[in-house]
Amino acid sequence: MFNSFFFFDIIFWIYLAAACCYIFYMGIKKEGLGHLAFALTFIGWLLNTVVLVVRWYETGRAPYANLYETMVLLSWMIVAGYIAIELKYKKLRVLGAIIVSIAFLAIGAAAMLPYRYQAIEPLIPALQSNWLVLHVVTTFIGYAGFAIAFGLGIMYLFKERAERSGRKSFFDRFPSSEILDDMNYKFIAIGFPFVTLGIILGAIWANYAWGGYWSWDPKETWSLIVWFIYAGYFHGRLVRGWKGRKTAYFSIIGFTAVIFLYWGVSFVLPGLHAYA
Amino acid sequence: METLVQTEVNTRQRGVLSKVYDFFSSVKLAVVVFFLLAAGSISGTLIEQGLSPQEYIANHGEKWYYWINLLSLNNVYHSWWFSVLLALLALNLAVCLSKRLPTIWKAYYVVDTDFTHNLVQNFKNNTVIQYPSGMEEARGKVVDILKGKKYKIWTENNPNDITIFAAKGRIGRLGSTIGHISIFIILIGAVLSSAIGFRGFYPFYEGESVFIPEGNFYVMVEKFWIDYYENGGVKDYFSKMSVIDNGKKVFTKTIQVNDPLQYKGVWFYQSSYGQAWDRLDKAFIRITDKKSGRVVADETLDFRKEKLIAGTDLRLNATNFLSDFAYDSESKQIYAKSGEQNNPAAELEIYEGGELIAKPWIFYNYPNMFPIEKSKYNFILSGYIAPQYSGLQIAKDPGVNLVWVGSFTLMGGLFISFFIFHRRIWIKILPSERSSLVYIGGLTNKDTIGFEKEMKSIIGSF
Repeated sequence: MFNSFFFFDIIFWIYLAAACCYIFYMGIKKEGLGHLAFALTFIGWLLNTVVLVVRWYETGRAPYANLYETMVLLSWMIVAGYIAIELKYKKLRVLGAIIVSIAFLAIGAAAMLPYRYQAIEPLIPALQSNWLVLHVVTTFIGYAGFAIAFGLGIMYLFKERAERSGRKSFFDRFPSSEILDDMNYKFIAIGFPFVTLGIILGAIWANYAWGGYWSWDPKETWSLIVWFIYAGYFHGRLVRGWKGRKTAYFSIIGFTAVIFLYWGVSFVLPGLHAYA
Repeated sequence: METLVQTEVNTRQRGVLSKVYDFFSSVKLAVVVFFLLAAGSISGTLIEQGLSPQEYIANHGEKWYYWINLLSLNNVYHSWWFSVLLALLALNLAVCLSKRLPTIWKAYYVVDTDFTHNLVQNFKNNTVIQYPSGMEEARGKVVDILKGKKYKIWTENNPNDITIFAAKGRIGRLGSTIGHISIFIILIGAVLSSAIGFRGFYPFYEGESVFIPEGNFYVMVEKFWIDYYENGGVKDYFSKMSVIDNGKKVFTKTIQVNDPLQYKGVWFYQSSYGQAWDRLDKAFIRITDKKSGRVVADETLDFRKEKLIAGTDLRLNATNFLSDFAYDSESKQIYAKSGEQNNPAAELEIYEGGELIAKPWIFYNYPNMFPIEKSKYNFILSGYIAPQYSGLQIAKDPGVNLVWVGSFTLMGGLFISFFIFHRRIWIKILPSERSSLVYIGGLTNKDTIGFEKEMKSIIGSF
């Protein structure tokens, strides 16, 4: 009964409750609700860890071999990133309304996968390698950074509009647009080197397993496109001095491409990377 | 007069040159090239690559195939225009680098101790502190504080004031340069890979030694086997390989997926396995009497070994085999259309009374399609056993090392660019009545908010 699916179902509800608490906290400004939201998030994250560990035990290998398992890893990383934000900047608790919601959506999407995508399958020969752990973990730290930056970008757009109108609004409790903009940059600056490292480790692995570091398989090609988009973000920001709305839109477009790279390519475009 | 004309030509030439230079260093070019590369790459993931013309026509229609063929959309990543785009990108990168390098170097290298207190007040982060003792004491205090924040400090005592310049993390300036040079290195490695690298797929049959011209030695798969999971899925597959160099067996290694063999720079990767498409272990031939339809014999033939058929004057030899028989009417060649067992056929030499009377291809799926006129028998390919091959990828690619060097320095460049910030502080200490005025101003290349905090903490420490 206490298998990984059991804990998975629990974190689904806990993350949902935490996200709701954060959203209400944004509106009704009771500190108690904020504490509750954080406590739920933290418990959810601990149980998220349990899912990964139990799954590791059940499969007898690193649990990063298919879409479902990597989604659990992704939500774990997003929430870990959020907990780090909340511990570092205690005043920015409202960010949970979006970031924990994104983590919940990741778990929700994993829950909606057909059973054959969730089932424990033995590893195919190509995946039996220590490179799997390195490649997947670095890539997903990158994805998590981009996911958080995406949430911050959306918040920026709302907040910036509210600031411009000058009226009191629902978004008053968001951090100032300047802080959101700065954090957006910081999380992309974390995500980008890790995704780059993930691509490089994937190339090293591919060279070791198949004898070629780059095969233009759809996953590889789309990872390059994502890389181009975020490289464009940095050039706009650091060379041309873009700030604010432009870069917020960029982080949203970039993450949309990440979603396609992660889900779209796996389902729509066939290739070497068919497992996830 | 002549010199005047000469100068005019020179300026005009320089005008053209500088226009070319501007064109290749423009960010616009970079954006357009990036956009086209992205669009081209996407098209390559949406249109299946490397199919045959027939398949494209079947999937997309004749009209679309015209465009696919014209724009090489069936082989995007190796098309001439994709290479041109990559070359443009490299050129753009090189020109931009050469253009920006002096500025970056200056910011990295220059120690600025020649400035006035007015300049200090121009910075976004600046303040004036009244320090309640003399200039020397004030300088000592400033140096202490900045040392505590790990700044490198240069001071200069002038007749009327003290100048202090402090900086840290200046290596962060070089991150982007290192990153861009790395991309250049990776591109060169990729060009080397495709120019002098070699990569190919070969089927190996157990016990057969194969000459590898790229390394001037022989390799042999001694044994090939597959491990299965309990549910029947393939767990792993292995080839026990030996390397024979100069007639001597040098070493033996069992390779599997994710564990290749390397000898003299040539790598052997276990990549697949399958049934042979051009050879046989055994062919099962049924011989029937044309008139009565009676089975005369069921014979098992070894590949390319003649066999006398007892009770007849027949001698048979299965000389060739194709798993997916096809005939190209233009070149009049017989070939295997695929590695699949779609249309297995064997070529059979039939000797009757010591004389070769026919050499027909007989088809497993279509028995008796072409009866042999000269013979009173029919010959049917009733079964066959094709040997299993171990599919190895063989590669020798000196370019790959450059790609790894570039990747490594790229990571270093990204890291120092994103996480090491170049912060500079300019300080001027001026005398005041029984105290001194400390003008302090600073700049950072990144992380403005973090720097503001640090400035506040520096000012608060006075």
